Amino acid sequence: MIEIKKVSKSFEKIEAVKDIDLKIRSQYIFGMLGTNGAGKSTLLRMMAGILKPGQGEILIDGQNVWDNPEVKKRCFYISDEQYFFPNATAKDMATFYGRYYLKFDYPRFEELLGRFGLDGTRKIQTYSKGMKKQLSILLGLCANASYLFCDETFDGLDPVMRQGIKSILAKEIDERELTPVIASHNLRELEDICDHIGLLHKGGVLLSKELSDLKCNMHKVQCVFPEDAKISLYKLFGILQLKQKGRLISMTVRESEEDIVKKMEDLSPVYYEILPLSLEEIFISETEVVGYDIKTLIY
Amino acid sequence: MTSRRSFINLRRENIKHRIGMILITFFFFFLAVLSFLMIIQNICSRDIKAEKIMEQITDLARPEYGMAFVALGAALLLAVSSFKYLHSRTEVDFYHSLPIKRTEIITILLTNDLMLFVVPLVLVTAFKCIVTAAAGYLSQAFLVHSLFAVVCYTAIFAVTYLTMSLAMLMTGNTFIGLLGFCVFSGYSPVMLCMLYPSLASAFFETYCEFGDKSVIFSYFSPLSLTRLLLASGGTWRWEEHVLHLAAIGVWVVILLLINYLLFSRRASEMAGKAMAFPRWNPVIRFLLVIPGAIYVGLGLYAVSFTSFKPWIIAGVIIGGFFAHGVIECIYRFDVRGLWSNKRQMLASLAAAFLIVGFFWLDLSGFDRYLPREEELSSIVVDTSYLTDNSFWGKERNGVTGKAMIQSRKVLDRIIGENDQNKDILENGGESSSGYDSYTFTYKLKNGKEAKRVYALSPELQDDLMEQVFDTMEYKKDTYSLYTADWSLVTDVEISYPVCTEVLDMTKEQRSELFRLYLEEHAALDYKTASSTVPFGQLTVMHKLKPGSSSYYYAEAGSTDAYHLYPSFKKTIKYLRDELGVDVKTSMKDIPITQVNVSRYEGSSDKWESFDIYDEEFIGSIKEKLCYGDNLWLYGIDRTVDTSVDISVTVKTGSGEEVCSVYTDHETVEKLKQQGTFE
Repeated sequence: MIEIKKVSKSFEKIEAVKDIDLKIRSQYIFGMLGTNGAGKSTLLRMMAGILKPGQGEILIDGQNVWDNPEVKKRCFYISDEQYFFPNATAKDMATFYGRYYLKFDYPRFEELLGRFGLDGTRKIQTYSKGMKKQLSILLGLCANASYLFCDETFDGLDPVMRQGIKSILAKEIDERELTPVIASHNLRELEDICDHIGLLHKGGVLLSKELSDLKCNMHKVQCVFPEDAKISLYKLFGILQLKQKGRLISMTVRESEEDIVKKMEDLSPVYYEILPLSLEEIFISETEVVGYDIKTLIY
Repeated sequence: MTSRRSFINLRRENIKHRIGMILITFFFFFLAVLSFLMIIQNICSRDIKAEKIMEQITDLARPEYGMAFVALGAALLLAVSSFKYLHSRTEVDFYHSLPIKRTEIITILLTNDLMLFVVPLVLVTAFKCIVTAAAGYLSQAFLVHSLFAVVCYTAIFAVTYLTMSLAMLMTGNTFIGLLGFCVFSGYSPVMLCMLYPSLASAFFETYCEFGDKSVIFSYFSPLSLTRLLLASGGTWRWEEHVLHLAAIGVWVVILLLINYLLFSRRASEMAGKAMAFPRWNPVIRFLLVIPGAIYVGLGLYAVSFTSFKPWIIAGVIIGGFFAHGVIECIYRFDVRGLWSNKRQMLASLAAAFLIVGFFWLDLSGFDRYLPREEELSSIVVDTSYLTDNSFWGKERNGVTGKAMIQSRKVLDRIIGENDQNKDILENGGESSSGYDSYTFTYKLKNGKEAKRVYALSPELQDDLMEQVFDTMEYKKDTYSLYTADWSLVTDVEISYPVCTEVLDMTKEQRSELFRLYLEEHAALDYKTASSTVPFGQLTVMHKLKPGSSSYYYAEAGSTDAYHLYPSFKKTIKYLRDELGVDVKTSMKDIPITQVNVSRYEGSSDKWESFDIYDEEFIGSIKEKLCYGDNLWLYGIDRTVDTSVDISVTVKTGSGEEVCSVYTDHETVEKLKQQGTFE
């Protein structure tokens, strides 16, 4: 389990991460969503023990991660731009990591290289960007670390490859105690992979929930009420966003489907429809509440 | 902690991924081996005695002739290649995410790099020994020199490497890291070392450099320490370098501690930034901007070729602004940084002005300084006779007792008139005739010393010399031969009318000559010395004594001269009777046919002269003339008149010869009345 306790981090005058409290349970795929500059990479680098928190602490299985090899042995960090030695091959990198991660699974690495069609004896510098991403994920998986920190790692992978990685991750979670933490802008990718979502904005956590809860508790409702009806929707629903065109009201509410149905039945609308929200829509709605609005960006 | 086995594995991995840098380092060693083989082959092919070959080959193993540049180059290359990962975000993320403690990372880097230098060094040294043995010239001295060479190069490598790694740690960019190394290397031996002398010479009228105090600054830079360690006066002796090795040892320990401390505290996010410890930026900037501003001020003053000191103020402002601005631009990687942190720039300028003001206003009372009588132990007087620290006798103790007290009284007047006399000496033209600079070293009872240079009018010079010249203390301090090691003498030359010849004599004869000369010189009083023109001189050529300031740089010797006066009867007799030199003590018997008097006329920028052929007149002044070819004017410049150049045409067996002569003021006046300068 990863416990982030009151962690803050500033780069000179810029406060990248502000007073974050977060718990990431083991064997969950944690998706870290966030606006640009929200502090996702910074938080991930702190979790990997690369950056030292300015304040607070990050505990992995109860131990502070900073400059602690015993804890770091259980973590593998995949950067958004993974470094490989010049002229090194995939096998060279595996040998290198094997020196640090003593449980490195070389046979599995060979097997996965074959499955992903990567030539282990070819120089990595001749790989495409996507191939490098695949290789870094394979190295991370075969290091047999309990925690896999992926920074924008799945960006650039084609859908087939993404599905392949996803299934491997699922298998790894089943077979051993793997906890991937994935930071990404690509909400659709996270939607496919993650169990738990943390939404970061301006260095803080807007929300941290199970993806299923998040989806179940947030809906888009379209409804039309009789002309003479005087209803205060804001008092009845946890509205994140409300738009009205003529008599058609379109609102994003933080309620379960059952609660919405119950309340709507009581209000007797002319028409109503409950629509599920995609993760992207949830992201936009949540960030809009705190002022991160497409309109404020464009206009 | 990483286990011992995996630690070795990690070291191996580190080496595996730095093959390029290792090959370059090995290439340096290969070149060293190649040049050694070439030199050995060259020496062995010479048609010289086997002992000479042995000597020359043995010399090849000495530290100063070997691979200091390899050590310096390898240190810089390896340190840069090891620590440059700290300057790349992707590499920092990669290395710092690995499960290894930071202290272990730096230990791997340091031990690997040391091994990458020491192992080939030892192998190359062993190879050299084998080659020398195969050639049949391996000696114990060669082995000992080789051992010391390995120690010296390892020391040079270690101190340079750790300085470079410190620069890399303190910065976030490799170019800035290299600049940082330049700052570390040059700050103490160049920037700080020159600051006080530069300021003092600009503002203190009586300042003169003395002692070798600047050496201390060389101990704070890897490059100047290397220079000290490898300096030799012909032959490198380890006994002379124990202090240097110890200093390097201390530095290595200090640098190691700092490196470890900074490595563990260095924030990974500083990769790519100019400086890795921003809190230290103002301190570093102050340390650079303040002396930088002062140097620009002094530089502007120097290039203005005036004595208009306000140029210094302008220079300090310009220098302070630009030094601050350039550093800020570097800190920010942005040229707009030139205008930032204005308050700190003003603070730096204020500090620079405070320092300049302190010197300008002479708040320490430097120029007015005269130790109290009860503080004084002795006063060493340097006249122009001793130039460029040419004294090669034993320690100079200065005049004491009554002579010191009386001299101090004269010094009180000298200080009072110094400004006026210095103006005359520097700008006076003809009116400065007879004025001279004298240097005084005040030796205090508390063991300290202070040195000052004053401009003295002819009267003050006479007043001073009347107090000191007749004392043996002054003579021993001024004329090296009194206390020098005569075994350092290589040749003695004599000049007398009108010839110069090398004295062919045994060591015993030389000692006797010196003894007689010094006996008569000791009896020479100031009244005689100041009123008598010497007829010739003994020129003593000698080697430098070990430990003198020039000793390390060459085996070259030096020369000084001892004037011969007609009153030195015993010396003249010994020269004539024992050494067979036909010494003439005056020019009265020299057949002079013509006298040429010339002078430089500054107002018209021309040389003007006239000739005298009047035999009767020439005959009347001949006795007053002193043979001037090779004559050492220092020490007799008060006696002879140098306002004109005089040459005489002398009849010789084979024709005529022109030689220069000197004479006293009275005779010069007579000469001037005999013609008109054209």
